[in-house]
This record gives sequence, C-alpha cells and structure tokens, in this order.
Amino acid sequence: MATDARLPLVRTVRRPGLVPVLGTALVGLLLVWLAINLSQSPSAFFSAALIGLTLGAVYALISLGYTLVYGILELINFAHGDVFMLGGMISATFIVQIFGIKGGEGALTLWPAIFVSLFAAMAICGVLNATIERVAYRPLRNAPRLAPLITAIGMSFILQNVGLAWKGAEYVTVQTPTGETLLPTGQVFSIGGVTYTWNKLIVVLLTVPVLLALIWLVQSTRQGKAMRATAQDRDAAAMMGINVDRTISFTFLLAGALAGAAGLLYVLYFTQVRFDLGALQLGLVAFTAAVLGGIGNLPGAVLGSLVIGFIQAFNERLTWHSPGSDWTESIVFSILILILVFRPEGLLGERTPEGG
Amino acid sequence: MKRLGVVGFALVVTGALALAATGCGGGKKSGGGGGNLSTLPSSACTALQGPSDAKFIVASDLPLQGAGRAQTEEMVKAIQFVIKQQNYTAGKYKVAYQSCDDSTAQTGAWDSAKCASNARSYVDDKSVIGVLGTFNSGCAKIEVPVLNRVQPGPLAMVSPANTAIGLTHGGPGADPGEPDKYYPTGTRNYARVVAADDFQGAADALWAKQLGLKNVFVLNDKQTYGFGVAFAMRKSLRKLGIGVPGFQGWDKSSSSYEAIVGKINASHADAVFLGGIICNNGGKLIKDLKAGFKGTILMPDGFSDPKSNGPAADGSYVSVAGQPPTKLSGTGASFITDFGKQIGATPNPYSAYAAESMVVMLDAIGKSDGTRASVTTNLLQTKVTNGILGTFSIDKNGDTSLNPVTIYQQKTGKLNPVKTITPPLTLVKGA
Repeated sequence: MATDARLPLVRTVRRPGLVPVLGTALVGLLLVWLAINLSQSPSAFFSAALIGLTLGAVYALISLGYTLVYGILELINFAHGDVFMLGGMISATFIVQIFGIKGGEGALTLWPAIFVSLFAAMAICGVLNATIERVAYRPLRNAPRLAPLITAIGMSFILQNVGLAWKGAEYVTVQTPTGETLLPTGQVFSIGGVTYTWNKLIVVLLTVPVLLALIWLVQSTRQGKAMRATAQDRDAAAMMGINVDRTISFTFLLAGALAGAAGLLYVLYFTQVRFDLGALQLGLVAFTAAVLGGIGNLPGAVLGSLVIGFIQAFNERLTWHSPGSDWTESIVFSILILILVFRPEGLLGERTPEGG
Repeated sequence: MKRLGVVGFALVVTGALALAATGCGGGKKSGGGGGNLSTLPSSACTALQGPSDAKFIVASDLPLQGAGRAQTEEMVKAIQFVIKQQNYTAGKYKVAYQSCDDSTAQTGAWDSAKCASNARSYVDDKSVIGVLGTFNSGCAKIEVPVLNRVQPGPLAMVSPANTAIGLTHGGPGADPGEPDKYYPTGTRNYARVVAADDFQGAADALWAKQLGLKNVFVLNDKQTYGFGVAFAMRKSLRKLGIGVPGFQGWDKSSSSYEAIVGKINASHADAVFLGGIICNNGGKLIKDLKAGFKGTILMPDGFSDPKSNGPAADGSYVSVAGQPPTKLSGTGASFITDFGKQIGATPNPYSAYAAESMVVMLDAIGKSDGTRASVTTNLLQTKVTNGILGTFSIDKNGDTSLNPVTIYQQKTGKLNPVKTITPPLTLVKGA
C-alpha cells in the first residue's frame, strides 16, 4: 500500500501558474514595444542602444565591485559606491590640479596624465577598500549578519563625509573651458544618422578588458582559485591551507581598484563628480544591477548593468509610447522586482540563502 | 576586547557630548551683540548682527550651500547693506539681523527637514518679528504654515525669490487647495516682492514668440518651483500658438541626459525650456544640451547665477522677474551703485529683491505696534514709492503689483539684459 501510494495512479497535467504567464506576457509586451519603436524610428532605437551600452558599461565597472565582495563574503558592501566616488575625486585632483589638464592638450600630454591618474586612483582606492575591510569588517566576521551590514552603511556615510569635507558640496568638474569632456569626441562610425563617438567607445574599450581580466583572474589563477574556495566554504578553504584573511583582503583590494578605475572613467566621460554620487546616484543603480544579474556572479553583474543602461536609454530616448524620464527610476525598480519575483537568484546568479 | 570596549565607550561619550553641544546651539541669550535678545540656533544661523539694545530680530532664510551659493551669499550681503544703511532701525524699534541657512551640505540645496526646523526656531524665538525668505518655493510651502499657526501671531514672511503660483493665489498652475492650505488660521502672513511664475512663464513664452520659435520642448526638475514654472510656460506657449512637442521631468540623480537630448532632437523642437533650478544637476543638463542640441535654450530664474550655469550656458536666455539692476532708477540706481562698489561687481538681479524685501519688512515693523500680528497686517498693506525696485504695492494675497520680467542672455559668464517684458494679464490669466 505504501509503495502504491508513492506511485502516481493518474498522470496529472500541471497547468502553468499565473505568475509565469504574467511574466511571459510582460516580456512579450516589452519586445513588441521595442520592435514597434525599431520599425518606426530605427535611428532613435540605435541611438538609444548606444547610449544604453555606454551607461551600462560604466555601471558594470561599479557593480563588479559589489558582486566581487558579495561573492566571497556574502556582504553587501554599501561603502563600495563611495569608494568609487572618492576614485572620481582622486582622478579629478590628479588630472586637473596635479597635471593641470584643461582641455586642448595634445595626446602626448593628455594620455600619460590619464594613465598616471588611473594608476593612482586604482592604487589609492584599492588600499582604502582593503583598509576598510581590515578595520571595519574583519572584526565582525563572526558577528550576526546585521552587524557588518550596518557597519557597511556607516562606512558609506563616513566616506561621503570625507568627500564632502575634501571637495565641498558642489560638483568637481573635469572638463574643457567650454564644459566638454577631455576625451576625444570625434566620430568612430555613423549609421543611419546615428553617430558613435570616441568617448563612448573608450568607455566600452576599458570595461571589456577589465571584465575579461577579472574573469581570467577568478577562473584561471591560483589566487582566483583561493577566492572561489573561500567563497564556497571559508572553513574548508582554511583547512586546505588557504590564507582566508589574505584572500578576502585581496578581493577588497581588487574591488577598490575597480572602483578607482570606474571613478576615473566616470569623471572623464560625464565630466563631474560629487560627494553623494556613490551612495544616492550610481551606488544604488550599480548595486541594483548586481542583484539583477545575480549577486556574486561576475558576468551577471555586467549583464544586469547593461540591462539597466538599456532600460534607461530606451525609456528616455524612444518616442513611441515611451513613458519618459519621469518614470525611469520606477521602471528600473519595477523590472528589478519582477525579475526577483520570477528569478530570485537574478538573471545569471546561483541560488544563495539571500537569493532564494 | 576590553580595549575596544573602552574606545567604544569613549566614542559614545564624545558623540553624546557633540550632540548635546549642537542641541545647545539654539535659544541662548546673546552676549555682546544683542542685549537680552534670544538668538536663533548657531547650527543654522550666523551670529546676531545689530545693536546691543535691539528689541527684535529679522531673520533671513536662504540656501547658503550648493551650486547657487554665490548668488544667495550676495543676497545676504544686500540684506545686511540695507539694514546697516537704516542703522538697524525700523520706526521706533531697534532691530538686529541673523542670516539662516535652509540648505544642508549633504543635499547641496534647500532641505525640507532644515526648512521645517528653521521655521520652528523662528516661531519659538519670541524675538523674531519677521522672516525674509525663502529662496525656494518648496521650502516656503513648508515654512509658511508653521509661521501662520503661531499664537499670538502670525509671523510675517517676505520672500525675495519665491515664484510658485499657489503660494499666494489659485488658478492654473496652482495645486488643489492652494493657497488656503498654507494659511490654516485664515489670516495671510506671507508676501513676495517678485512676480509669480504665471508672469514669468507668460514672459518666457512671449520671448519665444519674439525669437520666432515654433516648437519648445519643456522640461522640469520635478520640484514645486520647476514644475510650476514649466507648467505656466506650457500654457502660455500653447495660448500663443507655439507647439510644445514634449513636457517631461529630468532626474537630478541621472549621470547623463543624452537620451533626453536625443528625444528633444527627434521632436523637431527648435528650443528647450528648463523649468527648474541649477542645484538639481542643471549644470550637467546644460552641458549635454550644448553637446547634442543645436536649438535655443530658455531658462527661468532658477538658473540666474551664470557662474553656476557654467560656460556651456553661454548664449542661452534666462528670465528673471523685475527690471535689470542696471535699468533701476532713483533709489534702485543708488543701491546698485553703492552695493556694487561694496561687492566689487554688478549685483545679481536677486540682490535688489533681497534688499527690497528687507526694506519692506523694516517698513512693516516700523508701522507696527511691536507685535507679530501687527507687523503681518502692515506687511500686507505695503505701498512703496520710489523703492529699490520702483513704485509698487503688495495686494491682499501677498503679491506684488510690479510684474515686469527681464530676459537676459548669458555671455562669457555674465547675464546681459536683452529685453524687459510685462506680459498682458490676458495671457497671464490664461497661464
């Protein structure tokens, strides 16, 4: 009888639940809307796609830092956005004050200054992030999960105030005397009236190798293996002879360096940085992107960032029934909620205790 | 752990002491400057300025941090200039002055919590007889009801810069329930020496028509003032037969406005109007427009500080209520010359408004019996002859009868007056 009870006597047909049907319908509607916009105004569509790609690339550089730290420590490092903000301020200081770049300089003056600033921003932000881990997070490693989370929020406020005390409440600008970017803005290509400029391409050209290098580091190096082992099981990794503390410090160093690079790229492309940029503006967006892609997953962070970049650009740029900039934030977070409802682990993430 | 515990305890004690010190900032009896006056909190306001035997305080409430700081700091200097010129006297009363800040470093602009906290300070400090401000209409909407409720009262307020329609009168552009919801006692206590947005929007629309513009894309910063002036602009543009191919908000936390600029270009607009303030990432919006939009940029007085606007705004038009400083005559011309000498530059248009608001307030105090209610009554019966801004009166709603709006063009970091427009009431009422 017991055996019979376990066997299905009648094969039941499972009807799809309401939630997946709704999800599929929403995705379908979104695709139809995009297709109509593409057919009505291809130039607007491709222009939006290129803007979205650039925005997404910038978000990706920041969200990688969030996801890297979460992957190894399961800690949402809210201070990461503020380290990025300081990276922007450090870059601005080097470019404008130390090298005196004001626009109009030749490539032989501009690019060495940019590369030295990049190195400085990456080094300082890397060390800063590792120091934050050593001072604020490591003592709380065995504390309840809420303690390091609150500490991370606290560190975020501290770093914001450092930025505020250092540069004041106004925007720090890195621009030409006429308010334009220092990056070259010449045309790379033009299709159907849509022009792609060098400053946009530089952002993508920097993000892609960084992502590839990061994936290589995590997947193919001894240090990366240690990071993955620590992420999987910290105690087991320690028993296998991995220096867990050093591995976590290295991860923070790496995330900080990424934030520094993102900071430099941001001030060069968007021409300005302010003390609240990391927390209120980009930090929240980048963190959302990391969750959207699957927090802890490197390609997921990039995918999530690109999705948000495209959503913003399509919503604000397309003309056929696009809600417009009034609704950008609502749409971004609505899509985040929908994706978390349908795929709690994010687009590419694996199931985690938080992710579901 | 023990050492950490001691350090932690020390931090907590230090923090508590710091909080206590901040809390002690307000309501203290002044030392040398103000006799027995109870001064406003040092956390928000400067030290008391005035004679030691002053009976009352007039406070100004402006955002002194953020992108528009240079402009508002100059307004404070203009207020100080006037009260010094009048020897800290209003009729038979001696009056001291305190400059208060309604912004925070964190926001870099006016802050609703700070506005509410400042308003409570003015109400609680019995020495405060009148308030000059605010600069931002959103802040005024928070402060005016608090000042209105005080008993005995209400406490009078004169703004040199608020232009939101609903603060004083209803009609198109005002929210439901405005303006009555700001005056819970039923008695008006607020006046302004600057024309409201319905006048500014109408003047901007008339200027667009004179420029021969056919389609104007209207943006707003999603705040009280920005939305109000953008709404008024749209109404006037439509009434004048000018197309409005787009009306939408810009997000102040956005990194880039390239997509919006693309949409504006796709709409075939030959001009864009930025209803809002520079503090809401207006500088970045202007830069992105300059980079991707070839048409005309029209801006209201929220962009009246050319230094904050930046070089990208060169060539764009900015409307500011009133005559340009250089065209003021009589008392106004003297003020511009003398104050200009003091600051070493041509004063910003809003400095004259700040100065006039102090003159109006001192006049109301001088005619009063020394109570807050009496100052309020006199404020709403103001008639100025040959004042800094000219000859005008304040009506029962608190609005000024002086309604010209000047269009400036920004060139090499300066605002140059181009034309002064007094919009006809038919267009304003329609707006």
